[in-house]
Amino acid sequence: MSEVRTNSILRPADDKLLLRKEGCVLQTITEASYSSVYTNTTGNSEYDLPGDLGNGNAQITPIFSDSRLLFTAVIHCGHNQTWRQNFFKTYYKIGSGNWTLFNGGFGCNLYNEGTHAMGQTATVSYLLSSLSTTSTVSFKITHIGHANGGYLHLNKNKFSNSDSADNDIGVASQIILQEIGQ
Amino acid sequence: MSETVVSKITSRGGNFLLDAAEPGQMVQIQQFEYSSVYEDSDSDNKEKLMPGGFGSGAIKMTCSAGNRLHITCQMQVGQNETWRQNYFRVYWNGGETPAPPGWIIGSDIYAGGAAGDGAVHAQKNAYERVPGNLLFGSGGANAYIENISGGLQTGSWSFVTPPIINSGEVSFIMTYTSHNQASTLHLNKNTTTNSSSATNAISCSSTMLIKEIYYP
Repeated sequence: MSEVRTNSILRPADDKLLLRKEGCVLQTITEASYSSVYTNTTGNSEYDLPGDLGNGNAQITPIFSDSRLLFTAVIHCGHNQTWRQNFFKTYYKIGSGNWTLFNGGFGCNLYNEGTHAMGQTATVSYLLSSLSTTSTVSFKITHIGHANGGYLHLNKNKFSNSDSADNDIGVASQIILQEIGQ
Repeated sequence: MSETVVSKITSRGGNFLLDAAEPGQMVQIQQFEYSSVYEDSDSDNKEKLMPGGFGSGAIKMTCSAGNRLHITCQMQVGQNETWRQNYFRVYWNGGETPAPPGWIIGSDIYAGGAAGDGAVHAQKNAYERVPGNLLFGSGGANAYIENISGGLQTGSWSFVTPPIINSGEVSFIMTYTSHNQASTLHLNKNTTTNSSSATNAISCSSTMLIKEIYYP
């Protein structure tokens, strides 16, 4: 049986694309979601985020080895009384390999002297272009709090001046993974 | 003439080979990044070129006329000791060099201008804008910890450009400025301790993610 291989098909009049592979979103995975309130009072020490955000369950299996992976993190940071400085580091691993740090790190800064329950949503997207694999790629996010004020209040938010561990507005911190055709 | 209408062509295994390029779909994506720590304590009331490819004009993408660009900027804004407020501007040439008349931002940001080489621009002095570029898609971020250093805020924003004028290379340039009471930029700087050292402890990068969106 004959076979035609191409990356795009153009229409004849003006060379506009009819069909293509490059730029096509081949799949979107949003399974890594965490909506509970999670508090950690460790400072200046790196640890995995709770649930699927940090346990390696955020996974995508590329269809093509030349695809690019678009990593997006949406992290909701809360606050109590004074300032909070939360840092997040981002890692991937291919198959059962080792975790590799990539430049998707981000930070969230909150400061309100004397009042509780500020909230800040940090979002970051990072394009991984050269993984060259069709094996499952896992992602995780770790947290490091600033040594002087790095408590993490993940998904915590209130409408009042309260330090209770509530998620009044119903946020969910997430990792979203997309495979983009090349 | 006969016509076959399909939305995708798949391989025998069922994997997507080719997908219909329909209006509003992405046809390419590129990321540009800068991960070094860059600090400037003289950016109050001054608009300056960003370091690296962001400010050199090296950010370029080959695109088709009529398409639009969905651009997402992520700037990593660090701080020392007190608060920082930094702003960023993105310029592009729309696929035409120089940019078309009426789109060029000149000495008066509100009235427009001819060459973009004025001495005063929206109360910003001694700016370094490259003439012939369009203003589009600005953003800002702030970080504040009193008497403590090392904080970081990730500021992100997105916008969609007007249609690209000519097929070919589209170029971008980014500038920064700071609040006039907090004149310092600490791009990509962060430490988990109370330190003012120029360190990128979490390996973050400031990025511009550009998606070309199809409008045939």
